[in-house]
Amino acid sequence: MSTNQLSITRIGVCIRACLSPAFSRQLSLVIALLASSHLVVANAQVELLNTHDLVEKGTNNYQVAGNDPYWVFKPKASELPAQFLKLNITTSKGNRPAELFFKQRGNVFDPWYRLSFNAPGNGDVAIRIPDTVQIEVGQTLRLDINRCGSCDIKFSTASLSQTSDGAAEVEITRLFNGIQAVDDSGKLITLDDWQLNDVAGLLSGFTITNNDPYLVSPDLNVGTQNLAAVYFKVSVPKNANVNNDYQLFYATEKHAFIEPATSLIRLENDSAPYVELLFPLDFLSREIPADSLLQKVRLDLPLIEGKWSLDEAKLLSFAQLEHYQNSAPRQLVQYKRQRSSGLALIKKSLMNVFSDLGFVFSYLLLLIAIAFGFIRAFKK
Amino acid sequence: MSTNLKIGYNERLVKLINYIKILPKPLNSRQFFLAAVGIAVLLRVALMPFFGHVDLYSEARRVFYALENGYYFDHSYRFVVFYIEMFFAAISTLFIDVTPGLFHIADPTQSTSNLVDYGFFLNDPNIYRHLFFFKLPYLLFDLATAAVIWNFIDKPEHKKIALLIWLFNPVTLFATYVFGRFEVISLFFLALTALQLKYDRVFLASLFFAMALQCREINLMFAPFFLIALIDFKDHYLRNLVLVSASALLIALLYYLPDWLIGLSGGELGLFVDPNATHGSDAFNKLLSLGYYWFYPIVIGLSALAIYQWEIGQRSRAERFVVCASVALFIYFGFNVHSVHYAAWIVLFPIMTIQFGKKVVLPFIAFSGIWIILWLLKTDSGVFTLFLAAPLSTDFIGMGHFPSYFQQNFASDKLSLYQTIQIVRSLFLVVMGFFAYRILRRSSNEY
Repeated sequence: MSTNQLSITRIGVCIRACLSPAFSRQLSLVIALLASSHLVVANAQVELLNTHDLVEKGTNNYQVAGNDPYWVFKPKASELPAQFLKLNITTSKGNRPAELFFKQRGNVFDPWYRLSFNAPGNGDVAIRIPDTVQIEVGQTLRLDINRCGSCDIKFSTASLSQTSDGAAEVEITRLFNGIQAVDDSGKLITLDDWQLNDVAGLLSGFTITNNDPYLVSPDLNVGTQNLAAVYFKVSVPKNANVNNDYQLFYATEKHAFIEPATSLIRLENDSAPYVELLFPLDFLSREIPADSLLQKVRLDLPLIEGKWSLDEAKLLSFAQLEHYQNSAPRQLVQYKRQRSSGLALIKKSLMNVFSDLGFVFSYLLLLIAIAFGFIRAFKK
Repeated sequence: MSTNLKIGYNERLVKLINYIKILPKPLNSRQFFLAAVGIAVLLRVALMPFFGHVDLYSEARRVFYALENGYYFDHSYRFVVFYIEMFFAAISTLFIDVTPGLFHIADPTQSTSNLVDYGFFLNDPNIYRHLFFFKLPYLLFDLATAAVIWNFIDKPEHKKIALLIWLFNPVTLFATYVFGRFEVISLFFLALTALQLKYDRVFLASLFFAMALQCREINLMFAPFFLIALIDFKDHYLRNLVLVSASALLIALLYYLPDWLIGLSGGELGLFVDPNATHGSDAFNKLLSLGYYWFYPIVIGLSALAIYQWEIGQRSRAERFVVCASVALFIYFGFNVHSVHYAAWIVLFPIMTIQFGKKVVLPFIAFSGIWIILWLLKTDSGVFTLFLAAPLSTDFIGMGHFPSYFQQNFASDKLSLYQTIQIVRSLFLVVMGFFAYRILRRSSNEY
């Protein structure tokens, strides 16, 4: 049976049901049939537009049948202006991570406009809508429930209201509200809200207390298209080490802090009271495929006793990079090598080669001298 | 046998080269040598700054560490190579900045670089300069070996073939200028040994052979064949006994004397030796990098080869040495492929057998091809794919890690990567057999 024939049959079913005296009893059956064909559904509490990787097992009851289960829907409004989005979600596995996508471009939901939360999985939850986010009546949203295997989920209401009305208010664990690029003058990273590990004190003055000291920035969530580097100015206690290694971890939309996504700076100990660290991150936007969003950075410190402080942290643009490279002391940097091929490889190789002009000049001269020397000897 | 066959394809190939239409007239020997070496030097210099394995950096770190700290007599490991490298490193400090952060070794017994330190090296703005100077001694010894080969071989057409194989075979180019290892220094001393044998200079031959032993431990494999080659079967046995004993004594003395002298002067011989490394019972494994399973066929093969060498006692010393050293390598590599750059050891002696009319061009082509295929499949991250061209790109060939690429695109249930490697290894053994056949069979000179 073709799709058109199927639709005509279903419309016929609807007409017959409407004419039937048992119209009201049949209504829920009709809605269920239509929902399974991804047409607009108007149930009492949520206007459901689409589902993905879900099999409807009964009214508002679904079973996960794939890796990417979600509902596309329009919330109802009970009271306006709305401060909360209330959802009724129950999963057979209880608490599950969930994401709400709130901006659509064509038929696709933009991943840079979404909020994450943990759905308690046992009924009503209320999400406080952040001031910077706009969710309106009739706006199309997408709800994803993650890591639920093939569990059963009941999703029955989605409405906007002024209060939480006794529903459990859930914490938004991550908010993407569009990507903000680093502008040419760079972007200061606030020194508030950093997480400190194995150190005692504040960023303005701390000591290392154990073997894994590091500082984690607050959420940055900046686009990488104009991001060239991250810069730190750190006051360091006096020490007798020959070299000190500083390590940067960077989390992007693809990964959290992981060992392969790190850079290292090795500084010779020159007894200066502070160090300037310039970690290149230009490869994030240049790599194929690129990382588009820098979420957080983490600075791991060498084990040195005494008083430390983080004095400045800044994201640098490409326009600023050269200035900072010239002003900061020379440092050995180890960072992820770029995978490139074709023209990009040639361009990058030439850039690397021309970073040592003295050598390049002598090298070319040597090649020419060898060629001429042999040609002259050959002709004799 | 027809005249045509007697001329052999070596000669025909040289004629072909000489009559290439772009040249107005055939090249004489001198012109041929200059043209070949000139092109070879340009090719080598073009490769030198852009490639390198982490082993090259580790070796350079050791050398600069010894140089900076004045530990000139605290290191007995391959001391001939080490002093040559140290000499060139001392000169190169005029041109390169030996940044302590880059060349610092916190613990010399752990001197092999980890990937963190190698990462610092790769990102250094002067990396091309460094790579060029690290390989400079290799270039000079490589060209010196070419000169020795040129002098070892008498017939002009044979000289040309031998020179072309040495200068342009992919194995030597890769091992020396892409991977960046010092095999050519060891090969130079072995070539010099053969040259001295050609002129029956036994003392000098023993001296250079002892020096070759101080470059690479594997050269110990050639020692029995070197000593048997010294025997002159027309001479009195007592005279031969004295000669061989004196030579063996000289080699042993030169092998142990530096250790003894350095120890006597209070030096620390194990500067770069990891005290926790396992030695002792595994000594054979360490020495020849063999598992015991592979050890027996090699011992049997080498023993048979020694008997063969005795049987061909009427031939010249040089011929017996280079023929048997070649075949010893075929036996060794037939059962053990080892590491990618070690195949460079195979190249020298077969080239030198051209002097004795051996036809080795086709085996060389087969060997080069099978070696490339084997190491594309058997490679780790450090060989053909990721790290060698890391100064340029971590994915120079655009296929990522080639074995993974093979798994994804070619391998099936019926032919896995592992099975393919075993097949290619078997073919490698076949090529070694082909090589051995061409060298052991009677040459056109002997018909």
